[in-house]
Amino acid sequence: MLHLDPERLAALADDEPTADEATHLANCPACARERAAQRELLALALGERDAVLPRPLADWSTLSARLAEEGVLRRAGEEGMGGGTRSRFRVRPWMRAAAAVLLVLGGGIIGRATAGIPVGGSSDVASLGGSAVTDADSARAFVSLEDAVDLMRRSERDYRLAAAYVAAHDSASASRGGVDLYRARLAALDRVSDAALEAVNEAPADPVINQYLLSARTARAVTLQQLNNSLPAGVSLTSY
Amino acid sequence: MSDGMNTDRFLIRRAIDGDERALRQLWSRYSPHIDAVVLRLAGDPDLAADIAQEVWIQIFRALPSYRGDAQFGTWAHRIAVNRTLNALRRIRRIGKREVEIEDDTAVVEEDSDRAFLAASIERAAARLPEGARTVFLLHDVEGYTHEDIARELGITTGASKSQLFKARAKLRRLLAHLVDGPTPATEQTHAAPRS
Repeated sequence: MLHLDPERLAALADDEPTADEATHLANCPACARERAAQRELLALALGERDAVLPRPLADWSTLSARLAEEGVLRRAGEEGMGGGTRSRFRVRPWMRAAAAVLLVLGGGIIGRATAGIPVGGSSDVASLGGSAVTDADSARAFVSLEDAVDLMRRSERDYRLAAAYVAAHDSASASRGGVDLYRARLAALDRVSDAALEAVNEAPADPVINQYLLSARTARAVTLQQLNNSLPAGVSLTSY
Repeated sequence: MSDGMNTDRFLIRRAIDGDERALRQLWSRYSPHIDAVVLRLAGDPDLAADIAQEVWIQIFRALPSYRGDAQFGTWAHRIAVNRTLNALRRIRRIGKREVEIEDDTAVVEEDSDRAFLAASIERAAARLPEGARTVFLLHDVEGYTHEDIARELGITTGASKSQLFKARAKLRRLLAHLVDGPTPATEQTHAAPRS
């Protein structure tokens, strides 16, 4: 009996036979087995697609060195492909506007904790004048959205006033660590701000995330002012 | 969208900005698969290691162009295949593969075929002439169409099919121990009732 060509049988692993070929396959056990074997091999080959290596072919130290050379990997102080964190995630005008709105809507709550001010605590804040937030206010049941927003506005205003007051009068922190303490805090707040800004870029409408960003920035401004206060007379930082 | 994809998106954004930790996490997560693709196509582990490094640099350099249309793994896989083929083309001039396949029968003898009876399909594929092996891997393993392969390798779809079938037939001989059925008989007369 004549048999199908091996390469044709190989093709029939995933191809349909012609009518004559089908007839032959039906009557030739050898060719039918060969076709089945080819299909089995094809299945084995498909299984290879999901194969993984237990260990990478390259080591990270070598690869990272190359990536750094290529400018793909950013070492400390360098910018990446996206132009660096600051430029890539720079605040766009609409984000500033959104941030301003959210600031007004009460970004200060978390910032209170960041700046070491008791959340809801009212003694220092109240001494600044204005309608400070009290625990009673925080716990009360709001009668409307406007009511809650109004409280948030006042809360935010109070926070900023309190932060400015702390910056001007907090001599305890200065005596504990002075310039070094403020510098370390600024560096930490920069990292917090960067992370928060990235998160805002991911979810620009999320008020909680915006609060983190705004609180970090407010705390930074306060710390910068504190740093300035601790510097020798006549020396002043406008940026850090 | 799955958690994995969300994580990838986050890592990719960080990686584009040059964040080493994100770059390394992407590499750690996908290198087992990507490197396997490179090794499969390259065949030789030392050569594959060199190519893998270039592949990963290319993947990371291309990150800003990743639009998220496909999963990152799929996108990276494609780059890995293309980059590896380019490297092999450069190194081995695989553009001559169609000539090589015609010399195939002279390269592997029946005795050496038997020595591969214990080998896996990947190791067996490594014994194919390079052009046939590349077509086989791209089609049967990586899932490329003949049109894709023709475009990628600069050959016709007919040549792609021809080499694939030659490769399969040869693998059938090399891997006779792995599948049922008799080793293709050499004494049998073959005909093609294809009408």
